Amino acid sequence: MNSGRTHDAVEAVFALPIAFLGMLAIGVVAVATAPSGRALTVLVLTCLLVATVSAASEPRASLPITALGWFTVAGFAAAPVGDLKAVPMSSFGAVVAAGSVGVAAGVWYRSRVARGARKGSHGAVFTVTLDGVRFHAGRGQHDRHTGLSTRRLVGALALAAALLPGLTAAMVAARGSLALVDEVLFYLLAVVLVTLVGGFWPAVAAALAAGLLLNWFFTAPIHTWTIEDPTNLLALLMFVATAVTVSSVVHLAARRGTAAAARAAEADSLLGLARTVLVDDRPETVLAHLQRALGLTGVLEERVAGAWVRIAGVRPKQATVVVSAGATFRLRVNGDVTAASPRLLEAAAAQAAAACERQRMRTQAEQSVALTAGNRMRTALLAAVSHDLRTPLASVKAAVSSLRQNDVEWTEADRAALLATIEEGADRLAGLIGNLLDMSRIQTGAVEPFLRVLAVDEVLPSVARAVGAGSGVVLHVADDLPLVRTDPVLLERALENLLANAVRYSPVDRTVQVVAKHDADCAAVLIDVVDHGPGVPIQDRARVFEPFQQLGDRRTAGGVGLGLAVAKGFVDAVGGRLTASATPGGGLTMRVQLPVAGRMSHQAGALL
Amino acid sequence: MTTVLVVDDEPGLLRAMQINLTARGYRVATAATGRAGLAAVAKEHPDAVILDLGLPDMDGTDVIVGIRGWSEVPVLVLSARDQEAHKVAALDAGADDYVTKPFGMDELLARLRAAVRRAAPAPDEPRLETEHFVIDLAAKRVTLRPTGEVRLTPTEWQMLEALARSPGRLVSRAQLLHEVWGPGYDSETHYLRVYMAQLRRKLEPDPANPRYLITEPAMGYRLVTS
Repeated sequence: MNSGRTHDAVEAVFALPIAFLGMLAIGVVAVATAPSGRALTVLVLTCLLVATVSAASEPRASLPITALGWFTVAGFAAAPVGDLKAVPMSSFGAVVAAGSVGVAAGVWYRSRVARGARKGSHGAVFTVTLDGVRFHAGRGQHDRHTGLSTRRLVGALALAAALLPGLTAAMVAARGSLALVDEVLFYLLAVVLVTLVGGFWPAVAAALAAGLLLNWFFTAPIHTWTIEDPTNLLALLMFVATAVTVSSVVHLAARRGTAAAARAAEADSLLGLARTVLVDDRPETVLAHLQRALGLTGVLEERVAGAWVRIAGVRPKQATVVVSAGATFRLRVNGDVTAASPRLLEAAAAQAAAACERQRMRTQAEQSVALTAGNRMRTALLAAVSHDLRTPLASVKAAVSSLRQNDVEWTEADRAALLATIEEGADRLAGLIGNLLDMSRIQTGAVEPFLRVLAVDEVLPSVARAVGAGSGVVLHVADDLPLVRTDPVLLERALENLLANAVRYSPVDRTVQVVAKHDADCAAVLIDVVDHGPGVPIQDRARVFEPFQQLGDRRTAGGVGLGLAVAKGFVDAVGGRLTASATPGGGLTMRVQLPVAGRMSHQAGALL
Repeated sequence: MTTVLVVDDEPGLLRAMQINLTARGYRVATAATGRAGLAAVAKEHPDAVILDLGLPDMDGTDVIVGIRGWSEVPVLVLSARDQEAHKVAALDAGADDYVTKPFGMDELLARLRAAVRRAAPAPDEPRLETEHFVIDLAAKRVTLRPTGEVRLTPTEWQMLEALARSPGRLVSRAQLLHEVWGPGYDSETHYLRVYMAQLRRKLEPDPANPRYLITEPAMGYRLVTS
């Protein structure tokens, strides 16, 4: 959250140890040069140090610095060293003034440097602009400089308040058996404990308090603020400086730990987000992840014609954070965003937008695949139909153009053969066009059966004659067949197509059999068209009834592949069933199942 | 006697072809499948093959490749496929001409005659006469009727010569390019358009509606003398 760190004040964590070590150095020099060391030199040096560090550091650090500065001046300024009473109030004023001037100078300088760029007072509402991400955050519940909660601060102060008096009482009781150095180390231990609990500031307070306690209870003469031996005063100062330095180090380590933990959490969250998107890349998934991982509700919006339109998520009543992703997408987030870094929200917004775009691209790809398949199908169909129309037409035209040539004298036999070719071609064209028209009637649902009761042996012989002229079709019709209720014209067309198909695939030396019988409970009449051709593998058997299965112009015996589709459509239309099965010994058997009249099934009625 | 092999799976067409060709003095052999066709080429040694592309057992283009493996017999494709890609594929495979179904019998017979003529030994007839011009292949000269000699550039002459050597026969674009410009120019078909336009301007009575120098779309050119 710290932006423009270069213009910030030095943190107290660094400033205080530096100031304290500086004062320790002044004390050491004063003691070493005593008694020649002069009070004025100590005062001037201390004031300079206080002013400089106060100016460079954050303002709240100047209070302890000024306090310790006063102790340094009081302790080392005049002989007898450490006699606080001997120090005039004017030097106290000088130190306080130095501190105040330093703080004022530092604040003024920093505000001048930062003017216009940003308003940098900690804890206030601030806005950070980060690569197009607008991020507003309220004051967090954590102090971002200590990384510790208020509860821990209070706890540490309470600990200091309990530990220091207790320790002092215990050591006063055992005064005879302890040296000053032991007492100093015990206090140091207490200060470190306070640091561990409450961080830097409680530790500074504890160190100053411990210094005063040491002075009052343990340095001779006791129960005065006076210190007899200058080395004791030095030890006291050294204690305070060490305590503050140690707590500074502990504090910094704790803060880095907190930051590292936050970063690890953020990385975890980003990783989770990335994984989620890999598995299921819908914008809803990203929003669900945001809800699950951070407890935030989000809504993805897209800019369409100047207005923001919701793409995914539930529109929140109020959005605390708006994150834009690209020019056309934005993510509005509602909830406590302090746990989420702007980077994380930015990533979530980008992922949600990308997921949305991927989803669209996938849809488009699917559509174009379907379109391509449709196009390919249409092209193949066109090629097949044009081939099937052209082939008989070619025979007709070849024969007709032959007859029209006058450079040849045709024999009667040639003329007859050419005329037969013309008629055959014309018949085939008529059949194909009939099938095409039938198929389009079936596909548009325009078939209207005209049902009447009839015997199948009224229909079968004429069909066999029409198709099987000279090609060996054998009829086996049982003589106890019940009447069926059907449309004779549609049934005839269906059977013609089945029979033509069987004849086409049958080897020349095998006959096609048509077997008509009734089923076991006499509810239906079964007409089997049995051929001994190559047959159809079981996995393709359902497909033979789909139109245009024989695509392309390479086929075993011609035909676009409409015949079986037309047969199926017509048998369905009259309420029957058409199924394909294998002929024992090889080949295909087509079975037409027609309901017996009087037991007319409702499904045929429904079809009408 | 000239033998013609007709390969087609359509019985009516086979019959019509057989009647026509027999009436015109050809000996006719027929086959209904690609395999039977290939066998017949080996057995009958036909002087020309008329071949359908949509055969039941194999693609006609593969039949051409099979024939070209060992024989230079003229192959005339007769197919219901009218797309450019099919024509190019068949010609590239080695076909000599391509007629789409349905067709007129006169046209097929004329193309068959041209194909057979190409295969026959070079005619001892270096002069080609039409109603509007005379091409003298020996003297490398073209004379317009009635105005007199026309000057052709060497490239124009080479193109005209390539077409005039077998009048009526289709000369494929690749063949023309190879013959006139040499190897490496096989895709420069726009050269052909440019020079053909110049030839027509010089020879045709109405260059916009050519009567002698015929373009066969996607396939090549043909010099028709009648």
